[in-house]
Amino acid sequence: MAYEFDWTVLITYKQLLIDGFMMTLKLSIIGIFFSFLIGSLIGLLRVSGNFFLSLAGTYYVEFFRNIPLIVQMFFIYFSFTLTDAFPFLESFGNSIGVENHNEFFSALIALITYTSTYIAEAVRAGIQSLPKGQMEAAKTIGMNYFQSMYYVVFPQAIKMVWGPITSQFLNLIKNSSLAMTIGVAELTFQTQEIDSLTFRGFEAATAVTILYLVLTLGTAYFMSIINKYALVKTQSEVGGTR
Amino acid sequence: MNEKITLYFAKHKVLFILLNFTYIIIIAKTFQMLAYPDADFGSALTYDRIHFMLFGLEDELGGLVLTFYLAFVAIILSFIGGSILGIARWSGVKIFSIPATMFIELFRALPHIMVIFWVFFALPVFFGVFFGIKVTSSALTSAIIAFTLFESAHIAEIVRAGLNSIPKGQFEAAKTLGMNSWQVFIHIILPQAYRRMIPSILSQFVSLFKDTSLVYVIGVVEFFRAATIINNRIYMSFELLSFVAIIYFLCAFTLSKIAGQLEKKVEKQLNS
Repeated sequence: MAYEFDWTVLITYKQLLIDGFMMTLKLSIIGIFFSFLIGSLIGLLRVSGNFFLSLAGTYYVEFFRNIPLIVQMFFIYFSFTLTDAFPFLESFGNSIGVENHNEFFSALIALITYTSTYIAEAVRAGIQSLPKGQMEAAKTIGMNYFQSMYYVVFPQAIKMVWGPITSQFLNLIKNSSLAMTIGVAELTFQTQEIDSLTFRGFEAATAVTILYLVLTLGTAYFMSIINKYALVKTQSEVGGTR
Repeated sequence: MNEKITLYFAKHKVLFILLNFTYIIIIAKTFQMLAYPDADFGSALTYDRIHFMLFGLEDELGGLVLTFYLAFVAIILSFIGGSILGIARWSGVKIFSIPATMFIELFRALPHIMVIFWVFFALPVFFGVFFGIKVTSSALTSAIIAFTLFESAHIAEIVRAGLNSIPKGQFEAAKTLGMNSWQVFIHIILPQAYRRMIPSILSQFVSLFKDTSLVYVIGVVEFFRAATIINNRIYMSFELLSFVAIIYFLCAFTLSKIAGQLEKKVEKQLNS
């Protein structure tokens, strides 16, 4: 059984790979943005101290974390027609150059709900790991709860858990490959496409594997740069002036 | 007020569980009324279909049983593989640690679905090209191999973290008793490290349990695939998939609660 490698197929079908890469990027960037937003909100709900709010946060986290992502995707995709329910998604999809609105947004929403639970847990752990004095000190100088959360506690908490949050973002990028099961034309889907067009799935899979590696390693590097330059310095890094 | 409620429910756990149940039922019912008013669970979930989803066909493994079987076999294999890789990476001996690090980083960076595709489609070709052996593997075997590959990469990191968490004093104390390095490692370090790892490995098992639904793509008839097979026939996706989601939720939730309890217990033992 001899297998002749033919790498020219990648050049012939490079447009498919580029399209897939762009689709994965779109899923990842929008997904990362919203899952961070929603995850932070849920994390804040869970540490809010209000019994019913934190119960609601717990429901959200436990529910979406314990159901496999692929089941969520299928559930949203097959049970609802998202563009009928939310017409604005159509124009939003057009503006970012997506053709299959239903598929794309089903995958996106499932990715966001699934990843935001993990981010919520990370944010909660970060806030709980901070000493209580931070909140109290912020309140003493006259800030209300939201101000002290926004200006004092939350930035420090994010700094603390930036590592786990980064790995959740990477997980989101990797999990976006599941969108192929409902027909979003992203990278993994294009592997299958090239395979069925030319029977050269091997070369396509190699190229896609390398692209994924580039994507995840690049994101990890980017996040570490953010960590280095953009986030607040914690007390130990500043030098602990007391 | 908040403290009062929290304290009250901390005392009366049964009431708290009952409150949760009522809430969940109310939320679920409202959601169903809003989203899918004409859902008909009775006609979608007949006895035969539930039996097929849970146990598969008569003469072969399938359904939820196959999901658990896959998860168990893969976790045991990847526990072995992950221990070897983790120890190799931790050891610092370059011949072992560099390949182990490369393996771990590669399989942690790849999407799980890609690994499954690689194993299912490319591994037979690989063996054909490089070793001249003709390998035919079933979808089930490929699934187990794929899970073992990426799950051992994840577990290797847990093993390494567990080994790193052992204080240096343990080595030195054991050395003063006259043990050689090997004895120290087997009798002193490893047992302590494994005890610390149990909760993390259990939560890794939960995530593996959820990941088993990915073998849908290569056609292993486990729980999720069984449900989609029925869905393709009768097209009652809301009813079927919410059933699937509930079952997955119950299993994963119970397992993760057990993992949390174990973590507390282990922490208590370590602190005492």
